[in-house]
Amino acid sequence: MNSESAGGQDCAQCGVALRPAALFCARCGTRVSAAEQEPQAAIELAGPTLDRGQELRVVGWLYGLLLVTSLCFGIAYSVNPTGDFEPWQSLVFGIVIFAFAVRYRTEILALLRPSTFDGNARRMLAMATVIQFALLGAVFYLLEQTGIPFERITDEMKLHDYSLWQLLALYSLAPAVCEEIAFRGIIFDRLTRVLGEREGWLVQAALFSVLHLSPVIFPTHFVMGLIFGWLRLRTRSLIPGMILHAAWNAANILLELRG
Amino acid sequence: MSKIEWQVDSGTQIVLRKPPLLKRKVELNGQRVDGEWNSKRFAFTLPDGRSVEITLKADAISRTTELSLDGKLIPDIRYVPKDLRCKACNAEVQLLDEYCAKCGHSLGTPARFLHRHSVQGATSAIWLLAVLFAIFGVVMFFLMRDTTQTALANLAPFGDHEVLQPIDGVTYTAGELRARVIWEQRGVLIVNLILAAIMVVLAWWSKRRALPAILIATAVFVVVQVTGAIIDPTTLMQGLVMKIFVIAVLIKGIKGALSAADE
Repeated sequence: MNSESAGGQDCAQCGVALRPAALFCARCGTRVSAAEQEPQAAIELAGPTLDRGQELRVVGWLYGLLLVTSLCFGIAYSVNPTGDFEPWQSLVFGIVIFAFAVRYRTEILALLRPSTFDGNARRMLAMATVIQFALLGAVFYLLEQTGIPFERITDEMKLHDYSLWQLLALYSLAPAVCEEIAFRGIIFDRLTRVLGEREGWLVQAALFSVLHLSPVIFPTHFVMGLIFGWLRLRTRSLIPGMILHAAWNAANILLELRG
Repeated sequence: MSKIEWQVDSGTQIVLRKPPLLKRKVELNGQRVDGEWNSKRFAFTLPDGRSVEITLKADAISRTTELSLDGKLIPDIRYVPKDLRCKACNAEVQLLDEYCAKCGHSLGTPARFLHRHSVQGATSAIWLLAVLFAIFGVVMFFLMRDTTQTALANLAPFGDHEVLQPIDGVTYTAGELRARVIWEQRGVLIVNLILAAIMVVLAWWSKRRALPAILIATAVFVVVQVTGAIIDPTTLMQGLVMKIFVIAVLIKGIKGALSAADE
């Protein structure tokens, strides 16, 4: 087979001619002196096969559809800045995420079982709430002091005459439920399978932050994504993340209304 | 004349030559191999019975010529280091070895060198994006100076608490609008420097963990383009070839990193 192969000895496992003084077969990794041992290649191939490309394609499709939705409604806003597109955008986001959630319903339903929101989950939620409100509250306060003009959600309220409940449903509840299912459910699960738990956690947070389409808040939303992801990891549930996410958004709306 | 060379092992060298205006020619150890190209494929058998197939391929960013030996992709000599050694024990190994003959360490398939090349290409693209974001931010900051000064001059007669006519349905005081105008100029600089910093961190990280770094870089780049298109839809078509090229390089890097991880 190979010009440098030794003429005499062949690998007992794959039959390839062995190199002079070789301790292992260069083709299959079997130890020469102990051919009866389990071959190394066979051990490595024994694990469950994972189609990493397919897992990433699911992430790409979901993320791409959410991004295209943002692009379409963003362009609609730039053409008609006073248009009332927010409920429609939320609806399309919801439909896209619901379709993926139905496709992967087994894993999503397991993360939404009320029994997952146990005493441990409540403790983790309390800890994450304190960290998020203290840390990010301080950061946003400092950012506002520097004069960075943030988009005010309540401007939409005034423009389209939303009631407080409509505002909370559109900007607090809907994003919390949809984004947690999308990012901490479907995307996080797939990234964890492809990259491992730690890197999956980092990448889902990064994807979550950049989808908010404002580079100034990339770092703060990255931290938020890390906190929601940490909750999901520690509690094996999406419910604590949804509660914290909704509470954070609602607190922002109420603070804006207070002026 | 273009020439691609594969050193399969120490006794097998395959060369594909393409003389200008003449047909492609395949050589095995200096001897011409007879055969016909069939739909951009050329297949033949080595004297020891191994089958070889040369395939000409083209994608969005490049044309490639692939050689497979018994179905295994073999990189040409541009991608393979001259002195191949096992990472674990430093023993000399050959391109086709999947395990080190001395210590049994898993080496991966020969295609690992092609995957590494794709990952390096993506890392270079991330560095390039970091530089471009930084330059763009600084240039735009100075270009916007005159517009900012004019806008501030127009707002000068109004007091900070004076309420102005609604803009796109939103009412501002003169003070708020002044802050927005000043932020427009500074914002372009700050946002692009943040993006440049993100890309620098990702380029550095991609040397250690390529796949997550390239995934994030691709998402950031695509989202920045989408954000630009939302602010001004005409920017979607600006530099379209460059954007497609960058995305194609990054996706190739993701595929390369995925294949490398699979090994």
